[in-house]
Amino acid sequence: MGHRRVSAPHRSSLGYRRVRARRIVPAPRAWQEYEGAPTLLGFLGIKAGMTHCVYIEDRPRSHLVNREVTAAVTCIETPPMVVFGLRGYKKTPYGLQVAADLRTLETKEELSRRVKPPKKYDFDKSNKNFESKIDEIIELRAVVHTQPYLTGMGMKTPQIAEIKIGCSNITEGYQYGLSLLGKEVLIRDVFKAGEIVDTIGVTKGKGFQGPVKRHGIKILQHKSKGTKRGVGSIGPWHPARTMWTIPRYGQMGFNMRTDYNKRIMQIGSDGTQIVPKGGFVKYGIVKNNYILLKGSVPGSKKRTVLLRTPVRKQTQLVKEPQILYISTESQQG
Amino acid sequence: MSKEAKKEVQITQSKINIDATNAILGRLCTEVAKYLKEGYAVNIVNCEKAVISGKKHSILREYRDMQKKHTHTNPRRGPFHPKRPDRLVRRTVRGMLPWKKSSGKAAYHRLLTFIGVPDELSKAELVKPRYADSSKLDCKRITIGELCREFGWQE
Repeated sequence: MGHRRVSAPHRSSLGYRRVRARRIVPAPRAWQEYEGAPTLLGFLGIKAGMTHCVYIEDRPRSHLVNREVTAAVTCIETPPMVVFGLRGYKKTPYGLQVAADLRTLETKEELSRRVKPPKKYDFDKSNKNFESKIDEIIELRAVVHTQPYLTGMGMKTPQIAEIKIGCSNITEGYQYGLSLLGKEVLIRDVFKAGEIVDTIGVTKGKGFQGPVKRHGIKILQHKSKGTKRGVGSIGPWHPARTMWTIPRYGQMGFNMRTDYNKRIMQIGSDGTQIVPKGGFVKYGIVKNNYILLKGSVPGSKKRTVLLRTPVRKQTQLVKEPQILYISTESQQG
Repeated sequence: MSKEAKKEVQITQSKINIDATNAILGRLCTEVAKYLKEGYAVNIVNCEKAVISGKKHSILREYRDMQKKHTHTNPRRGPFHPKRPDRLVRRTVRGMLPWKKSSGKAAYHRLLTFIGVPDELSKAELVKPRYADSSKLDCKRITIGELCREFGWQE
Protein backbone atom coordinates (compact mmCIF):
# COMPACT_ATOMS: atom_id res chain seq x y z
CA MET A 1 0.00 0.00 0.00
CA GLY A 2 0.93 3.55 -0.33
CA HIS A 3 2.14 2.84 -3.85
CA ARG A 4 -1.08 3.74 -5.61
CA ARG A 5 -0.64 5.91 -8.66
CA VAL A 6 -2.30 9.30 -8.70
CA SER A 7 -4.56 8.24 -11.55
CA ALA A 8 -5.40 4.89 -13.05
CA PRO A 9 -7.70 3.63 -15.77
CA HIS A 10 -11.22 2.91 -14.55
CA ARG A 11 -11.82 -0.67 -13.54
CA SER A 12 -14.54 -2.13 -15.79
CA SER A 13 -16.54 -0.30 -18.43
CA LEU A 14 -19.14 2.28 -17.45
CA GLY A 15 -20.80 1.83 -20.83
CA TYR A 16 -23.06 -1.00 -19.76
CA ARG A 17 -25.90 -1.14 -17.31
CA ARG A 18 -25.31 -4.18 -15.17
CA VAL A 19 -28.91 -5.29 -14.93
CA ARG A 20 -30.58 -8.57 -15.70
CA ALA A 21 -31.94 -9.08 -19.22
CA ARG A 22 -35.71 -8.73 -19.48
CA ARG A 23 -36.10 -11.91 -21.49
CA ILE A 24 -33.98 -14.88 -22.31
CA VAL A 25 -34.45 -14.75 -26.10
CA PRO A 26 -33.02 -11.41 -27.12
CA ALA A 27 -34.67 -8.95 -29.48
CA PRO A 28 -31.89 -7.31 -31.50
CA ARG A 29 -31.74 -3.54 -31.59
CA ALA A 30 -30.73 -3.49 -35.24
CA TRP A 31 -30.96 -5.60 -38.37
CA GLN A 32 -28.81 -5.58 -41.46
CA GLU A 33 -29.86 -3.25 -44.28
CA TYR A 34 -30.35 -5.80 -46.98
CA GLU A 35 -30.92 -5.53 -50.72
CA GLY A 36 -31.55 -8.55 -52.88
CA ALA A 37 -33.62 -11.69 -53.07
CA PRO A 38 -35.90 -12.15 -50.02
CA THR A 39 -34.41 -14.13 -47.17
CA LEU A 40 -34.53 -14.38 -43.39
CA LEU A 41 -31.79 -12.36 -41.70
CA GLY A 42 -31.34 -14.52 -38.64
CA PHE A 43 -31.66 -17.94 -37.08
CA LEU A 44 -32.23 -19.25 -33.57
CA GLY A 45 -29.93 -21.94 -32.27
CA ILE A 46 -29.16 -23.64 -28.99
CA LYS A 47 -25.68 -23.49 -27.54
CA ALA A 48 -24.31 -27.01 -27.08
CA GLY A 49 -20.70 -26.55 -26.05
CA MET A 50 -17.19 -25.88 -27.25
CA THR A 51 -14.40 -27.90 -28.81
CA HIS A 52 -11.43 -27.11 -31.01
CA CYS A 53 -10.48 -27.68 -34.60
CA VAL A 54 -7.48 -27.42 -36.91
CA TYR A 55 -8.06 -25.62 -40.18
CA ILE A 56 -6.08 -23.98 -42.96
CA GLU A 57 -5.94 -20.22 -42.48
CA ASP A 58 -7.44 -18.55 -45.55
CA ARG A 59 -7.54 -14.91 -44.53
CA PRO A 60 -5.20 -13.36 -47.11
CA ARG A 61 -3.75 -10.79 -44.72
CA SER A 62 -2.98 -13.19 -41.91
CA HIS A 63 0.70 -13.95 -41.32
CA LEU A 64 -0.33 -17.57 -40.95
CA VAL A 65 -2.05 -17.74 -44.33
CA ASN A 66 -2.12 -21.22 -45.92
CA ARG A 67 -0.82 -22.78 -42.70
CA GLU A 68 -2.56 -25.02 -40.23
CA VAL A 69 -4.11 -23.16 -37.31
CA THR A 70 -5.90 -24.39 -34.21
CA ALA A 71 -9.00 -22.53 -33.11
CA ALA A 72 -11.62 -22.91 -30.43
CA VAL A 73 -15.10 -23.38 -31.90
CA THR A 74 -18.57 -23.23 -30.39
CA CYS A 75 -21.12 -25.81 -31.45
CA ILE A 76 -24.66 -24.47 -31.79
CA GLU A 77 -27.39 -26.98 -32.46
CA THR A 78 -29.87 -25.65 -35.00
CA PRO A 79 -32.97 -27.79 -35.33
CA PRO A 80 -35.33 -26.47 -38.05
CA MET A 81 -37.14 -23.27 -37.07
CA VAL A 82 -40.88 -22.94 -37.81
CA VAL A 83 -42.43 -19.75 -39.17
CA PHE A 84 -45.90 -19.27 -37.71
CA GLY A 85 -46.60 -15.60 -38.27
CA LEU A 86 -45.74 -12.45 -40.14
CA ARG A 87 -45.58 -8.89 -38.92
CA GLY A 88 -45.44 -5.66 -40.89
CA TYR A 89 -44.03 -2.54 -39.26
CA LYS A 90 -44.81 1.01 -40.32
CA LYS A 91 -42.74 4.08 -39.64
CA THR A 92 -44.17 6.61 -37.19
CA PRO A 93 -42.56 9.65 -35.56
CA TYR A 94 -42.22 7.50 -32.45
CA GLY A 95 -40.39 4.56 -34.07
CA LEU A 96 -41.59 1.41 -35.76
CA GLN A 97 -45.11 0.24 -34.94
CA VAL A 98 -46.97 -2.87 -35.97
CA ALA A 99 -49.23 -2.08 -38.93
CA ALA A 100 -50.54 -5.57 -39.61
CA ASP A 101 -49.94 -9.10 -38.51
CA LEU A 102 -50.83 -12.53 -39.63
CA ARG A 103 -50.53 -16.00 -38.17
CA THR A 104 -51.22 -19.47 -39.34
CA LEU A 105 -53.28 -21.91 -37.32
CA GLU A 106 -51.59 -24.93 -38.88
CA THR A 107 -48.79 -25.02 -36.35
CA LYS A 108 -46.97 -27.62 -34.36
CA GLU A 109 -48.78 -28.87 -31.29
CA GLU A 110 -45.89 -27.96 -29.03
CA LEU A 111 -46.31 -24.27 -29.82
CA SER A 112 -49.43 -24.18 -27.63
CA ARG A 113 -47.10 -24.59 -24.66
CA ARG A 114 -45.79 -21.09 -25.36
CA VAL A 115 -48.72 -19.26 -27.02
CA LYS A 116 -52.34 -20.32 -27.01
CA PRO A 117 -53.89 -20.41 -30.49
CA PRO A 118 -56.72 -17.90 -30.98
CA LYS A 119 -60.21 -19.43 -30.79
CA LYS A 120 -61.64 -17.33 -33.57
CA TYR A 121 -59.30 -16.42 -36.35
CA ASP A 122 -60.06 -15.62 -39.98
CA PHE A 123 -56.87 -16.07 -41.96
CA ASP A 124 -58.25 -14.68 -45.24
CA LYS A 125 -59.52 -11.55 -43.54
CA SER A 126 -56.18 -10.90 -41.88
CA ASN A 127 -54.40 -11.62 -45.14
CA LYS A 128 -56.57 -9.07 -46.96
CA ASN A 129 -55.96 -6.54 -44.22
CA PHE A 130 -52.22 -7.15 -44.49
CA GLU A 131 -52.26 -6.69 -48.25
CA SER A 132 -54.23 -3.45 -47.98
CA LYS A 133 -51.60 -2.00 -45.67
CA ILE A 134 -48.59 -3.14 -47.62
CA ASP A 135 -47.86 0.37 -48.90
CA GLU A 136 -47.22 1.81 -45.44
CA ILE A 137 -45.14 -1.16 -44.28
CA ILE A 138 -41.38 -0.59 -44.32
CA GLU A 139 -40.18 -3.63 -42.44
CA LEU A 140 -41.35 -7.22 -42.48
CA ARG A 141 -40.57 -9.73 -39.78
CA ALA A 142 -41.30 -13.41 -39.55
CA VAL A 143 -42.52 -14.74 -36.22
CA VAL A 144 -40.70 -18.00 -35.63
CA HIS A 145 -40.41 -20.64 -32.95
CA THR A 146 -37.65 -23.09 -32.18
CA GLN A 147 -38.09 -26.84 -31.77
CA PRO A 148 -36.05 -27.71 -28.68
CA TYR A 149 -38.00 -30.99 -28.29
CA LEU A 150 -36.05 -32.33 -31.28
CA THR A 151 -32.81 -32.03 -29.34
CA GLY A 152 -31.71 -34.24 -26.50
CA MET A 153 -31.47 -31.51 -23.91
CA GLY A 154 -34.92 -31.96 -22.41
CA MET A 155 -36.65 -28.65 -23.09
CA LYS A 156 -40.15 -28.96 -24.51
CA THR A 157 -41.49 -25.41 -24.72
CA PRO A 158 -40.44 -23.59 -27.89
CA GLN A 159 -38.88 -20.15 -27.77
CA ILE A 160 -40.42 -17.53 -30.04
CA ALA A 161 -38.79 -14.55 -31.73
CA GLU A 162 -39.22 -12.11 -34.57
CA ILE A 163 -36.72 -12.26 -37.41
CA LYS A 164 -36.52 -9.66 -40.13
CA ILE A 165 -37.22 -10.66 -43.71
CA GLY A 166 -34.55 -9.00 -45.84
CA CYS A 167 -35.92 -7.86 -49.20
CA SER A 168 -35.59 -4.96 -51.61
CA ASN A 169 -39.34 -4.91 -52.28
CA ILE A 170 -41.96 -5.35 -49.54
CA THR A 171 -44.45 -7.11 -51.84
CA GLU A 172 -41.79 -9.65 -52.81
CA GLY A 173 -40.86 -10.07 -49.18
CA TYR A 174 -44.50 -10.61 -48.25
CA GLN A 175 -44.93 -13.31 -50.89
CA TYR A 176 -41.77 -14.97 -49.60
CA GLY A 177 -43.08 -14.75 -46.04
CA LEU A 178 -46.41 -16.31 -47.08
CA SER A 179 -44.56 -19.18 -48.75
CA LEU A 180 -42.71 -19.85 -45.47
CA LEU A 181 -45.78 -19.68 -43.26
CA GLY A 182 -46.28 -22.88 -41.30
CA LYS A 183 -43.13 -24.41 -42.75
CA GLU A 184 -39.74 -25.34 -41.42
CA VAL A 185 -36.67 -23.28 -42.20
CA LEU A 186 -33.26 -24.93 -42.20
CA ILE A 187 -30.01 -23.29 -41.19
CA ARG A 188 -28.68 -23.88 -44.72
CA ASP A 189 -31.48 -21.71 -46.14
CA VAL A 190 -30.20 -18.73 -44.14
CA PHE A 191 -26.42 -19.04 -43.74
CA LYS A 192 -23.53 -20.62 -45.58
CA ALA A 193 -20.28 -21.92 -44.16
CA GLY A 194 -17.53 -19.29 -44.29
CA GLU A 195 -19.93 -16.38 -43.74
CA ILE A 196 -19.79 -14.04 -40.80
CA VAL A 197 -22.59 -13.65 -38.26
CA ASP A 198 -23.35 -11.68 -35.12
CA THR A 199 -24.38 -13.66 -32.06
CA ILE A 200 -26.83 -12.20 -29.60
CA GLY A 201 -27.55 -13.86 -26.34
CA VAL A 202 -27.97 -13.53 -22.61
CA THR A 203 -24.71 -14.09 -20.75
CA LYS A 204 -24.25 -16.54 -17.88
CA GLY A 205 -25.80 -15.22 -14.69
CA LYS A 206 -23.38 -14.90 -11.77
CA GLY A 207 -25.84 -13.56 -9.20
CA PHE A 208 -24.97 -10.94 -6.60
CA GLN A 209 -21.22 -10.41 -6.66
CA GLY A 210 -18.67 -8.24 -4.93
CA PRO A 211 -16.62 -5.57 -6.68
CA VAL A 212 -13.51 -7.75 -7.12
CA LYS A 213 -15.30 -10.25 -9.33
CA ARG A 214 -17.83 -7.83 -10.78
CA HIS A 215 -15.50 -4.99 -11.73
CA GLY A 216 -12.01 -6.45 -11.41
CA ILE A 217 -10.68 -4.12 -8.73
CA LYS A 218 -7.56 -5.10 -6.81
CA ILE A 219 -7.72 -7.13 -3.63
CA LEU A 220 -6.28 -4.98 -0.84
CA GLN A 221 -3.46 -6.15 1.42
CA HIS A 222 -4.33 -8.69 4.10
CA LYS A 223 -3.86 -6.18 6.96
CA SER A 224 -6.44 -3.85 5.40
CA LYS A 225 -8.96 -2.70 8.00
CA GLY A 226 -12.58 -3.73 7.61
CA THR A 227 -12.46 -5.32 4.19
CA LYS A 228 -9.87 -6.40 1.72
CA ARG A 229 -12.23 -7.24 -1.15
CA GLY A 230 -13.92 -3.83 -1.11
CA VAL A 231 -13.05 -0.53 -2.74
CA GLY A 232 -10.22 1.36 -1.02
CA SER A 233 -12.13 4.61 -1.13
CA ILE A 234 -15.73 5.16 -2.09
CA GLY A 235 -15.23 8.86 -2.68
CA PRO A 236 -14.67 12.21 -1.02
CA TRP A 237 -16.33 13.74 2.09
CA HIS A 238 -18.39 16.01 -0.16
CA PRO A 239 -20.60 15.41 -2.11
CA ALA A 240 -21.79 13.21 0.75
CA ARG A 241 -23.12 10.52 -1.55
CA THR A 242 -21.51 7.64 -3.43
CA MET A 243 -20.74 8.45 -7.04
CA TRP A 244 -22.26 6.29 -9.75
CA THR A 245 -18.78 5.53 -11.05
CA ILE A 246 -17.63 3.71 -7.91
CA PRO A 247 -17.31 -0.06 -8.51
CA ARG A 248 -19.74 -1.61 -6.03
CA TYR A 249 -21.37 -4.98 -5.45
CA GLY A 250 -24.54 -6.06 -7.27
CA GLN A 251 -25.94 -8.22 -10.04
CA MET A 252 -23.34 -9.69 -12.35
CA GLY A 253 -24.09 -11.46 -15.61
CA PHE A 254 -27.39 -12.40 -17.21
CA ASN A 255 -27.13 -9.36 -19.47
CA MET A 256 -28.07 -9.23 -23.13
CA ARG A 257 -24.85 -8.94 -25.12
CA THR A 258 -24.02 -8.90 -28.81
CA ASP A 259 -20.82 -10.43 -30.13
CA TYR A 260 -20.01 -9.14 -33.58
CA ASN A 261 -18.47 -10.91 -36.56
CA LYS A 262 -18.05 -14.57 -35.75
CA ARG A 263 -17.08 -16.77 -38.65
CA ILE A 264 -19.07 -19.89 -39.46
CA MET A 265 -16.49 -22.67 -39.74
CA GLN A 266 -18.86 -25.45 -40.64
CA ILE A 267 -22.53 -26.23 -41.10
CA GLY A 268 -23.22 -29.91 -40.69
CA SER A 269 -25.99 -32.41 -40.17
CA ASP A 270 -24.15 -35.39 -38.65
CA GLY A 271 -23.54 -34.52 -35.03
CA THR A 272 -21.50 -37.66 -34.35
CA GLN A 273 -18.53 -36.11 -36.15
CA ILE A 274 -18.14 -33.26 -33.69
CA VAL A 275 -19.66 -34.37 -30.39
CA PRO A 276 -16.98 -35.26 -27.83
CA LYS A 277 -16.91 -38.75 -26.36
CA GLY A 278 -19.63 -38.92 -23.73
CA GLY A 279 -21.38 -35.89 -25.23
CA PHE A 280 -21.03 -32.22 -24.46
CA VAL A 281 -20.96 -31.81 -20.69
CA LYS A 282 -24.33 -30.50 -19.40
CA TYR A 283 -25.78 -30.85 -22.89
CA GLY A 284 -25.42 -34.33 -24.37
CA ILE A 285 -25.32 -35.30 -28.01
CA VAL A 286 -26.22 -33.23 -31.06
CA LYS A 287 -29.08 -34.85 -32.98
CA ASN A 288 -29.86 -32.17 -35.55
CA ASN A 289 -28.13 -29.76 -37.89
CA TYR A 290 -25.40 -27.88 -36.16
CA ILE A 291 -23.18 -24.91 -36.81
CA LEU A 292 -19.59 -24.40 -35.69
CA LEU A 293 -18.67 -20.80 -34.90
CA LYS A 294 -15.10 -19.68 -34.44
CA GLY A 295 -14.60 -18.35 -30.93
CA SER A 296 -17.03 -18.07 -28.06
CA VAL A 297 -20.69 -17.16 -27.80
CA PRO A 298 -22.42 -15.44 -24.87
CA GLY A 299 -24.47 -17.54 -22.51
CA SER A 300 -24.59 -20.93 -20.89
CA LYS A 301 -25.12 -24.27 -22.56
CA LYS A 302 -28.75 -25.05 -23.50
CA ARG A 303 -29.41 -21.34 -23.93
CA THR A 304 -31.07 -19.98 -27.07
CA VAL A 305 -28.74 -17.81 -29.15
CA LEU A 306 -29.75 -15.59 -32.05
CA LEU A 307 -27.48 -15.67 -35.08
CA ARG A 308 -27.91 -12.55 -37.19
CA THR A 309 -26.46 -11.38 -40.48
CA PRO A 310 -23.68 -8.91 -39.61
CA VAL A 311 -24.67 -5.28 -39.12
CA ARG A 312 -21.13 -3.93 -39.11
CA LYS A 313 -19.05 -3.58 -42.20
CA GLN A 314 -16.60 -6.44 -42.59
CA THR A 315 -14.63 -8.17 -45.29
CA GLN A 316 -16.69 -10.94 -46.78
CA LEU A 317 -15.12 -14.39 -46.61
CA VAL A 318 -17.67 -16.63 -48.23
CA LYS A 319 -15.38 -19.55 -48.97
CA GLU A 320 -15.80 -22.45 -46.62
CA PRO A 321 -12.63 -22.97 -44.55
CA GLN A 322 -10.90 -26.30 -44.98
CA ILE A 323 -11.15 -28.09 -41.64
CA LEU A 324 -8.58 -30.85 -41.12
CA TYR A 325 -9.51 -32.05 -37.65
CA ILE A 326 -12.21 -31.53 -35.05
CA SER A 327 -11.48 -32.67 -31.53
CA THR A 328 -13.89 -35.27 -30.16
CA GLU A 329 -11.84 -36.06 -27.09
CA SER A 330 -13.85 -36.60 -23.93
CA GLN A 331 -14.50 -33.48 -21.89
CA GLN A 332 -15.13 -35.37 -18.65
CA GLY A 333 -11.83 -35.14 -16.83
CA MET B 1 -58.87 33.46 -18.22
CA SER B 2 -61.22 36.17 -19.35
CA LYS B 3 -64.60 35.34 -20.85
CA GLU B 4 -63.49 37.00 -24.03
CA ALA B 5 -60.54 34.70 -24.44
CA LYS B 6 -62.72 31.68 -23.87
CA LYS B 7 -64.98 32.82 -26.64
CA GLU B 8 -62.00 33.33 -28.89
CA VAL B 9 -60.96 29.69 -28.92
CA GLN B 10 -64.60 28.55 -29.06
CA ILE B 11 -64.45 25.86 -26.48
CA THR B 12 -67.43 23.65 -27.01
CA GLN B 13 -66.05 20.48 -25.49
CA SER B 14 -63.88 19.67 -22.55
CA LYS B 15 -61.11 18.75 -24.99
CA ILE B 16 -59.06 21.33 -26.88
CA ASN B 17 -56.95 20.46 -29.89
CA ILE B 18 -54.23 23.02 -30.44
CA ASP B 19 -52.11 23.44 -33.55
CA ALA B 20 -48.62 24.56 -32.54
CA THR B 21 -47.52 25.51 -36.06
CA ASN B 22 -45.65 28.86 -35.92
CA ALA B 23 -46.65 29.35 -32.30
CA ILE B 24 -44.10 30.85 -29.91
CA LEU B 25 -43.20 28.10 -27.44
CA GLY B 26 -43.41 29.99 -24.13
CA ARG B 27 -46.62 31.80 -24.98
CA LEU B 28 -48.19 28.63 -26.31
CA CYS B 29 -47.34 26.75 -23.15
CA THR B 30 -48.66 29.40 -20.74
CA GLU B 31 -51.97 29.33 -22.54
CA VAL B 32 -52.08 25.54 -22.50
CA ALA B 33 -51.19 25.50 -18.79
CA LYS B 34 -54.13 27.79 -18.11
CA TYR B 35 -56.55 25.53 -19.97
CA LEU B 36 -55.20 22.52 -18.14
CA LYS B 37 -55.58 24.15 -14.75
CA GLU B 38 -59.19 24.96 -15.57
CA GLY B 39 -59.84 21.28 -16.13
CA TYR B 40 -59.65 20.92 -19.89
CA ALA B 41 -57.85 18.11 -21.65
CA VAL B 42 -55.48 19.49 -24.26
CA ASN B 43 -53.91 17.88 -27.31
CA ILE B 44 -51.08 19.75 -29.01
CA VAL B 45 -50.26 18.73 -32.58
CA ASN B 46 -47.39 19.78 -34.86
CA CYS B 47 -45.10 20.31 -31.89
CA GLU B 48 -42.00 20.26 -34.12
CA LYS B 49 -43.28 23.38 -35.90
CA ALA B 50 -43.52 25.61 -32.85
CA VAL B 51 -40.83 28.31 -32.70
CA ILE B 52 -38.53 29.99 -30.20
CA SER B 53 -37.59 33.59 -30.97
CA GLY B 54 -33.93 34.52 -30.98
CA LYS B 55 -30.69 33.63 -32.67
CA LYS B 56 -30.07 29.98 -33.30
CA HIS B 57 -26.69 29.82 -31.60
CA SER B 58 -27.85 31.56 -28.43
CA ILE B 59 -30.92 29.33 -28.09
CA LEU B 60 -28.79 26.26 -28.69
CA ARG B 61 -26.32 27.44 -26.07
CA GLU B 62 -29.09 27.88 -23.52
CA TYR B 63 -30.47 24.42 -24.17
CA ARG B 64 -26.99 22.85 -24.18
CA ASP B 65 -26.32 24.40 -20.78
CA MET B 66 -29.62 23.00 -19.58
CA GLN B 67 -28.71 19.51 -20.83
CA LYS B 68 -25.63 19.56 -18.63
CA LYS B 69 -27.70 19.85 -15.48
CA HIS B 70 -28.13 16.44 -13.93
CA THR B 71 -27.52 14.65 -10.66
CA HIS B 72 -23.77 14.79 -10.11
CA THR B 73 -23.54 11.52 -8.26
CA ASN B 74 -25.80 9.59 -10.64
CA PRO B 75 -26.95 11.10 -13.96
CA ARG B 76 -29.51 8.32 -14.38
CA ARG B 77 -31.55 9.91 -11.60
CA GLY B 78 -32.31 12.97 -13.70
CA PRO B 79 -33.41 15.66 -14.18
CA PHE B 80 -34.05 14.45 -17.70
CA HIS B 81 -34.05 16.75 -20.68
CA PRO B 82 -36.23 15.57 -23.54
CA LYS B 83 -34.77 15.64 -27.04
CA ARG B 84 -37.93 14.90 -29.01
CA PRO B 85 -40.22 17.80 -30.03
CA ASP B 86 -43.42 16.47 -28.48
CA ARG B 87 -41.69 15.65 -25.21
CA LEU B 88 -39.87 18.97 -25.13
CA VAL B 89 -43.16 20.89 -25.44
CA ARG B 90 -44.79 18.69 -22.82
CA ARG B 91 -41.89 19.28 -20.43
CA THR B 92 -42.10 23.03 -21.01
CA VAL B 93 -45.77 23.01 -20.03
CA ARG B 94 -44.90 20.98 -16.95
CA GLY B 95 -42.66 23.78 -15.77
CA MET B 96 -45.67 26.08 -15.82
CA LEU B 97 -47.93 23.82 -13.75
CA PRO B 98 -47.97 23.37 -9.96
CA TRP B 99 -46.13 20.06 -10.41
CA LYS B 100 -45.69 19.39 -6.71
CA LYS B 101 -49.44 19.53 -6.08
CA SER B 102 -51.76 16.70 -7.02
CA SER B 103 -53.90 19.14 -9.00
CA GLY B 104 -50.89 20.06 -11.12
CA LYS B 105 -50.02 16.43 -11.73
CA ALA B 106 -53.58 15.66 -12.74
CA ALA B 107 -53.52 18.64 -15.09
CA TYR B 108 -50.26 17.42 -16.61
CA HIS B 109 -51.72 14.00 -17.29
CA ARG B 110 -54.55 15.64 -19.25
CA LEU B 111 -52.01 16.95 -21.75
CA LEU B 112 -51.03 15.00 -24.85
CA THR B 113 -48.48 16.23 -27.38
CA PHE B 114 -47.79 14.92 -30.87
CA ILE B 115 -45.28 15.21 -33.66
CA GLY B 116 -47.27 16.10 -36.79
CA VAL B 117 -50.98 15.33 -36.76
CA PRO B 118 -51.84 11.79 -35.64
CA ASP B 119 -54.49 9.79 -37.49
CA GLU B 120 -57.00 10.02 -34.65
CA LEU B 121 -56.89 13.84 -34.72
CA SER B 122 -56.81 14.24 -38.51
CA LYS B 123 -60.49 15.23 -38.59
CA ALA B 124 -60.55 17.19 -35.35
CA GLU B 125 -60.99 20.94 -35.35
CA LEU B 126 -57.63 22.55 -34.61
CA VAL B 127 -57.39 25.79 -32.69
CA LYS B 128 -54.55 28.30 -32.95
CA PRO B 129 -53.33 29.66 -29.63
CA ARG B 130 -54.45 33.23 -29.23
CA TYR B 131 -51.35 35.11 -28.08
CA ALA B 132 -48.63 32.93 -29.54
CA ASP B 133 -48.59 33.89 -33.21
CA SER B 134 -45.01 34.27 -34.43
CA SER B 135 -45.82 35.88 -37.78
CA LYS B 136 -45.38 39.37 -36.33
CA LEU B 137 -41.98 38.60 -34.83
CA ASP B 138 -39.28 40.98 -36.02
CA CYS B 139 -36.36 38.82 -34.90
CA LYS B 140 -34.83 35.55 -35.98
CA ARG B 141 -36.39 32.32 -34.81
CA ILE B 142 -35.75 28.59 -34.64
CA THR B 143 -38.29 25.78 -34.78
CA ILE B 144 -38.45 23.10 -32.13
CA GLY B 145 -37.73 20.56 -34.85
CA GLU B 146 -34.43 22.28 -35.75
CA LEU B 147 -33.51 22.52 -32.09
CA CYS B 148 -34.19 18.85 -31.45
CA ARG B 149 -32.32 17.78 -34.57
CA GLU B 150 -29.22 19.44 -33.08
CA PHE B 151 -29.60 17.17 -30.06
CA GLY B 152 -29.85 14.03 -32.13
CA TRP B 153 -33.56 13.70 -32.84
CA GLN B 154 -34.20 11.76 -36.04
CA GLU B 155 -37.53 11.96 -37.77
